[in-house]
Amino acid sequence: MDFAAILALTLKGISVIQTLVSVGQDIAPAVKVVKDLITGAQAGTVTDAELLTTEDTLDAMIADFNEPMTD
Amino acid sequence: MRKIILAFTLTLSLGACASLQNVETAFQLGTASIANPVTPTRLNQMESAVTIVFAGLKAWKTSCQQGLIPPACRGQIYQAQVFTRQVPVYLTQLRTFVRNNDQVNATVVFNNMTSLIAAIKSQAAANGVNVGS
Repeated sequence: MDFAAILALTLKGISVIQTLVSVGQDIAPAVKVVKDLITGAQAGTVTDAELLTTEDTLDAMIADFNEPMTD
Repeated sequence: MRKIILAFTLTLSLGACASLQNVETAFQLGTASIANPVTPTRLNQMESAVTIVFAGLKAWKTSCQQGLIPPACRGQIYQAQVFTRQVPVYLTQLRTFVRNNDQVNATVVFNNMTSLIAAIKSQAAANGVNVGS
């Protein structure tokens, strides 16, 4: 895994988390993504379980954004 | 590890200045090729990047629904959703190809996903919301 890319992604992720906080959003999913990125970078590989967890988180976030706007 | 902690501290202090206009996420994963295959680890990295992009998009949508930004955001988000609703289709294909180690098809879909995410970022950027760098 490209450590520089992981670090850049982590830093950008943190800036997004701060924005989520500023608009009163649940930051848990984004925090978990950043944490998992660091953990995965340290381990060097990703397990099937980690991959599934990432995918579940992403699927939920996509579904949430794709929901029609409410009034 | 020390560098990571330093980077976190620096970012947290700098990040206090962040606003929705400056939301930045990364999607700098390049393009896939036979020489640069889509491994499960790379897939995970890409999905993490896309998750962060969607976290930024969610913040945009929430701000819009709460009336914190101009009402034109509603139409802008509808336009962005035209692209974002295509993402799950590509993701499903990509996950299958990677798990089957079908690198030829995985590479094609990976690069299509990259283009689609770039289109989503451009759509958001055209409306003053930066969800990618």
